[in-house]
Parts: sequence; structure tokens; C-alpha cells
Amino acid sequence: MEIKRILCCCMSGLGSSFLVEMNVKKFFKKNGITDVEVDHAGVYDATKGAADLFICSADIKEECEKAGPTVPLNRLTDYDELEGKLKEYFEVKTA
Amino acid sequence: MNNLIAEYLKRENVNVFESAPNWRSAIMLCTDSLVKHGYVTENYPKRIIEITETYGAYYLIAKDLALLHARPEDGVIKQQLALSVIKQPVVFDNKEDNPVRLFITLCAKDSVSHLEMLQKLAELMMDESRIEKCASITDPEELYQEVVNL
Repeated sequence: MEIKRILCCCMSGLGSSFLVEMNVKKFFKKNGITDVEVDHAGVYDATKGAADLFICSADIKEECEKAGPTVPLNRLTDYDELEGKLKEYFEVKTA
Repeated sequence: MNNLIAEYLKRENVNVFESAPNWRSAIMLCTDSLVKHGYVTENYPKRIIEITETYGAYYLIAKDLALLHARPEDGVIKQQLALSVIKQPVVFDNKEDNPVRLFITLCAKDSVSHLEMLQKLAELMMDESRIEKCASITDPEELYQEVVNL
């Protein structure tokens, strides 16, 4: 599956999802990935077709899974956890 | 100097508390000065508690840190931040592995205006050692200086 659009979701779409978006962008920058769109939103915007991949806090995993492939995070601000999970979807540069 | 955090964080909303009997009281404590000074209505903390009862503590974003917030329409009057330390760590239901001392309460007036400020605040929120440092501060003035000068 080709991923062109990622939606980072949290309960309200105001705070935590934006922090996840920042970390996703950091991951893309680090790995030279430029052709994927990233945005953030509240869980109610996680609908089918809204994105190819949803990244969310583990709490709202079930809701996001209804919309499509989902990567749940146990610690929203943990870059290492995010990187480890995104590696399954994107090719990464080896140091 | 253009200090984004100073624009959002008034000294009057930086507080250090000894303890809270439970997580509901902790939310009331952390939002008390915001209600008192007219940044949010009494509905705002009420909504945070209601959402927590339904979905769990959705604001525990890092070790020892909660980013409390509800939606703009839940009672935000003026955009603002509150910064609180509760010395005795607060335990949330089903999140017993992450007792929290540092609380940042966000009052956003829409979905986008606060993002630039949040990006700056992320330097603290994504850094475990800085969270630990702030959570251990017991003097509100020192806490204010630490965060406002990020």
C-alpha cells in the first residue's frame, strides 16, 4: 500500500495530535521523505478515506482503526517509539 | 523580543500546590486561576472531567506531564495557558503507571492560533529531562521563569 497522506489524531485535535505531526515531519526530514502529506485532527475527523495511515494515542486506537490502517502510540511525544513503528511503513536511511 | 510563551502565559496562572486528593480535584486546582481571572468559564474544567470519565485521561502525553484541555467551545473566553506543579504526584484511573506532577492547561480559542506557541512549548513537552526539572520546582516564580524563557 502506498502512503500519501497521514493523519495524526488525538481526542480533540488541538494539542497532542500536533505534537505527533511535528515528530512525523521530523522523521520524514531525517529520512529524506518529501512526498507524504501530514496533518493533525480530532478523532471525529478520522474517517474512511481521510488518510492512508492514521497515527493516534493508544486510547483511541479502536476509533481510528475503523477509518483505516492505524499506528497506535503508547507515549505520544516519544520520538523513538514513533520512529520504530514508522519503519514498518517507510524506507529509512541507515546511518 | 517576540516571546510567544509569554504572550500566552500570565504569571497569575503559574502555581505550585502541595497535593490533590484525587484527579478530579487536580483538574479543578490547575484550572482555578483561569476561571477566577476570566480566561475560561466554569464549564471548562467540568468538560475536561466529563471527557476523562468517558474516554480516560487523554492528556497524559509524556512521563510526569499532562496537557489539560477541552475544546474552544467548551468555555474558552480568552486564549491562555496555565502551568501547575502538584508536588504529590496525581494518579489517574487506568494510568497508574504514570503519576503526574507537571500540568499544562491549554485554553485555545480556535484550532490554529496556538500552534506556533505549542511548537515552542514542545521543546519542553518532548524533553523528559526538562519535564523532570520543571516538575521538581517548588517556587512558582522560578517555574514561570523556567518555562517563559524556553
